[in-house]
Amino acid sequence: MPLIKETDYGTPLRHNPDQVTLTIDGQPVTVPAGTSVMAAAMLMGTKIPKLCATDMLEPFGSCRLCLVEIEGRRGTAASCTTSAEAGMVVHTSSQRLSRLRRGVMELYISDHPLDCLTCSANGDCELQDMAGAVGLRDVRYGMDGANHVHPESPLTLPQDTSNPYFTYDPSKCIVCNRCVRACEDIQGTFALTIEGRGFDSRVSAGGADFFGSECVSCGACVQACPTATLTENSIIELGQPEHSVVTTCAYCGVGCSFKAEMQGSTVVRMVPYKGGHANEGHSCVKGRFAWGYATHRDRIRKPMIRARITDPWREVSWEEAIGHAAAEFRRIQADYGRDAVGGITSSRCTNEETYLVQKLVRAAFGNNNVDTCARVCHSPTGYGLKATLGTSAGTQDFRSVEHADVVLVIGANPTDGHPVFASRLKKRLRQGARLIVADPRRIDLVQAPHVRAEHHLQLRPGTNVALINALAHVVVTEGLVNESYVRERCELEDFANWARFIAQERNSPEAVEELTGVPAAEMRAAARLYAMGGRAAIYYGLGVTEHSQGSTMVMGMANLAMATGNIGREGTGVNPLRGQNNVQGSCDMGSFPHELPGYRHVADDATRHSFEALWGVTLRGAPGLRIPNMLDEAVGGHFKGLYIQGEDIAQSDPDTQHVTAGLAAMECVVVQDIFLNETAKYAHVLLPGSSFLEKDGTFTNAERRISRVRKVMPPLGGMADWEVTIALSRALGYEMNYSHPSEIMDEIAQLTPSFAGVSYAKLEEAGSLQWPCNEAAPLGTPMMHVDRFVRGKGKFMLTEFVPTEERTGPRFPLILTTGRILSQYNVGAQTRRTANSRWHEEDVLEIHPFDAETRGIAEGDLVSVESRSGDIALRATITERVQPGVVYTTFHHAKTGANVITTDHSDWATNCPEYKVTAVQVRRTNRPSDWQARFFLEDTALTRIERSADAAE
Amino acid sequence: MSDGKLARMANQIAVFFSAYPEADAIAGVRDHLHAFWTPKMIDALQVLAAEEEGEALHPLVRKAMGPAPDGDDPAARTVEGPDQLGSLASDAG
Repeated sequence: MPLIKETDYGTPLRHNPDQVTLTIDGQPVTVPAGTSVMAAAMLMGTKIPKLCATDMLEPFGSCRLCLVEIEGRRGTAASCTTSAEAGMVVHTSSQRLSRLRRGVMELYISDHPLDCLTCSANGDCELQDMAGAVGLRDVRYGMDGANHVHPESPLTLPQDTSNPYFTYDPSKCIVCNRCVRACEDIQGTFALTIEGRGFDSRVSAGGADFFGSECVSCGACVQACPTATLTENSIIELGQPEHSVVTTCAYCGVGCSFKAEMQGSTVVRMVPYKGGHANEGHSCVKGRFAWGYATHRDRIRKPMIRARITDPWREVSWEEAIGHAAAEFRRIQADYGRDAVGGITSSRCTNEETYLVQKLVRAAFGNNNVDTCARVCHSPTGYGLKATLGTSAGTQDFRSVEHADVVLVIGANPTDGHPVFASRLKKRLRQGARLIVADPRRIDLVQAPHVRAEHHLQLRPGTNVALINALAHVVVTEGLVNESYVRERCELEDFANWARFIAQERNSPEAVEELTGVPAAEMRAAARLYAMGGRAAIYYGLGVTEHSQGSTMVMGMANLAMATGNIGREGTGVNPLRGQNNVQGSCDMGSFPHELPGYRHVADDATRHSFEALWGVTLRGAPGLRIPNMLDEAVGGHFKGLYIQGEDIAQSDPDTQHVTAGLAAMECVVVQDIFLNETAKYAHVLLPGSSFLEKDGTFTNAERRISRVRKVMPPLGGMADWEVTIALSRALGYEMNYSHPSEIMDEIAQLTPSFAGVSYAKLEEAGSLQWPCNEAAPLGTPMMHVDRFVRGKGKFMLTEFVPTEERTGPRFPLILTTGRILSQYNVGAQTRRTANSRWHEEDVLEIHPFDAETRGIAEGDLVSVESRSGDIALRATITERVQPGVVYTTFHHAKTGANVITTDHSDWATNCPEYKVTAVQVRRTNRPSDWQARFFLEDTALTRIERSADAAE
Repeated sequence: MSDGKLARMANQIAVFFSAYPEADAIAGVRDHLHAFWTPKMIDALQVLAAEEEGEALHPLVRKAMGPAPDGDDPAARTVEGPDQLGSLASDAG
């Protein structure tokens, strides 16, 4: 396996139907119009020397190394900034060019340290390569005089090691601006600049050190740097990698492609892969740097069992642990009935693993009690989009945003939750697309460098449906409906009913102004912009779904998009930003209790029979229990055993005390995870999980893109997750025969029409595939609903606003809403075990100055947050990002227990919890809450591991 | 599962469908329950609906728990292909 070196064309390749033919070094070459001479040369295999150019960035023309001669033109042109033209005759080498290039290199090297042998970039330094390429043999200027290199020189600056993941060494900087441009053009943060003038100029993180700056540690600058100026600390520590493997990030639903660069089975660094369609060579701090958890000392490496949760864990063999788990499940089924056990698939695991867990539940347990964490995030998306458009899938690929003229972001915080997509979005916004943000909180997108939301609809949490109805009301009553689109593509009777409903005065912006807290004029202006601003796209997140009317809101958005003709073209759509890396895949793979893989209801005889024939069992035709139902049943004493693969419901699910009561009431909880997570405190069997680096498989991202996950190191516990499920199934008496995950994918393809064309061989060839991938679409489907909706005609649904039952009042006057931040991921099991915690060491409560003042709360005070469900204590930060009456926190730290206060209210259709609206009171306190005090005790009491005497010594 | 919680969940479903004409709304509630609830949960709700007193159930829930119209099979609507999909079918939740 070699080290993958992607071709660098020097400047971005252009997509243009117009082609031009020019001659380079006597050879004709045809390229799309707009291609640079440099890229044209590289397309025919000629590498023109360069330093400031790289194809991730627009040309800059500063290093003067890429000079070429063009016949009929005077002087020498920079090939990066010169476009190829028809008939152009270019020479890339001559004595004159060699002399010029050598002169340029000489100047660069005259102010560059010559410690190449001990330099961290040794083996991967473009400056060194170019010195070689131009044949530099001598530096006539000597190394004396003013310089940035010698330690005693007043211009020499110390290294900046403030960032935990990379080091800035100013002495190595050649001021090529690649890092600055990467920060601006790719990431869109504008944290870097060139400070000073002339000989004093130097890269600077806005005058601060990197850690204290605006830098978000996406790594784009480090990747762009041609020298050792910005270098990953892991490279400094370990040296250069010797081979690499392309794999898929295991953090968010963007699903970035990475090269895992390795030394043997040690990861040296993760570098975003340019060929990955989801990220096209970009990354964020999590995927790029926060992978150290995979080898963290907390990793569970041996199976463990215990009789009671208060007993210490006992390390046992795989055979014993799996045999014990299987025996317990069978005992429980014998004692309490077949339905007393169930399973939870993991949206963190691969498609193949998820498929096996649901297969185990349906075939070996013999019931449909299987669910997944999509229950608590995007299940309303599934329901709402299926009802209106015919499929639960997101409509577009990420690249589509490059064609959007208007972007409506609702209940999502892409710069924190989906940073790599956010960078794409910001790029489009800088090009002039217009932005509407609907969010109770002033998220970063509302005002970012060179990005500003034209309308920030700062609604009160819980009033989404009233808002979307008001926008639709404006569209209908002001005659902005795209009538020809609706007539051609939608059910007309439903449209007419909907239009009559939505046109009623009670849905007007003026009528809901007070309720939503958004000025009517703003709503009207936003609706007009969405309807008339050109191609309009909706991007949304959990701020839409995690409400008692989550499904209604999804339908409301689909209604609005259909009414304005904004589905089925590039740059439009209703686009869910999925949370977990494989939450799309886990849903596709039949993780819901009512449907088999491919979203087919268990009551469908034909589908069920096809599975029964292949699996050799009889399947139940009625839905099983959803996660909240399982917990309710457990508390009621009817549900006794649960197999949980890679999910931490004790931290992530709402109303923690109800969840833990349910878990504590069970007789056998089997947790398969890489860490002893919160749920494991209530487990009786712990099976070591494997990280994404330790197994083969596929993940499916929010674009429906299926990408390969490739094993780069052996599983620390000895078995990959899919092997564990197979072993458990065998022990339960149900044989599963797969020797590699590719065979599992073959079975999925055989049984699932939308996956019929998917195989590992094809993925190898195509890189990734977007389902549906079958005979009709052999290379997959980037965009859904192109000529017609999946359900045939689009269906407008009536979306009456119904206020949540969670009400504020004198006891609980504030609304708490929750979310995430950039550096931490979900329950934090991974990111808390990396240096990412330096940015976010604890969850804090954001509170408006007005609410803080009336409560006597000062910045950093410990405050108690109490709801009808429970109370916690955390530190307050005072900010106008939240509006008066609303407080906000994250749920990344188990010790905070943010979900102790969230309630058991849920979406009417899917039971997706209402995380985003909890009535609370906030007051100063001087101690942790009772729950937190108990947490600290249990954190030790329920996690003890009894090791044999010799192991302890 | 407690009766109170079952009733609350069923009522939430009924409130959504109450925007529709009654016949559609009743069918909507019934279809939804059969598509997403376990038989045991539906049976428990049936018992609640039959009680004169007890949990306050939305009228649509009570009606949806009544006898289905002749030949009406909620399961069939749930599993029809996209072109024939009933209005209230879904693939998630």
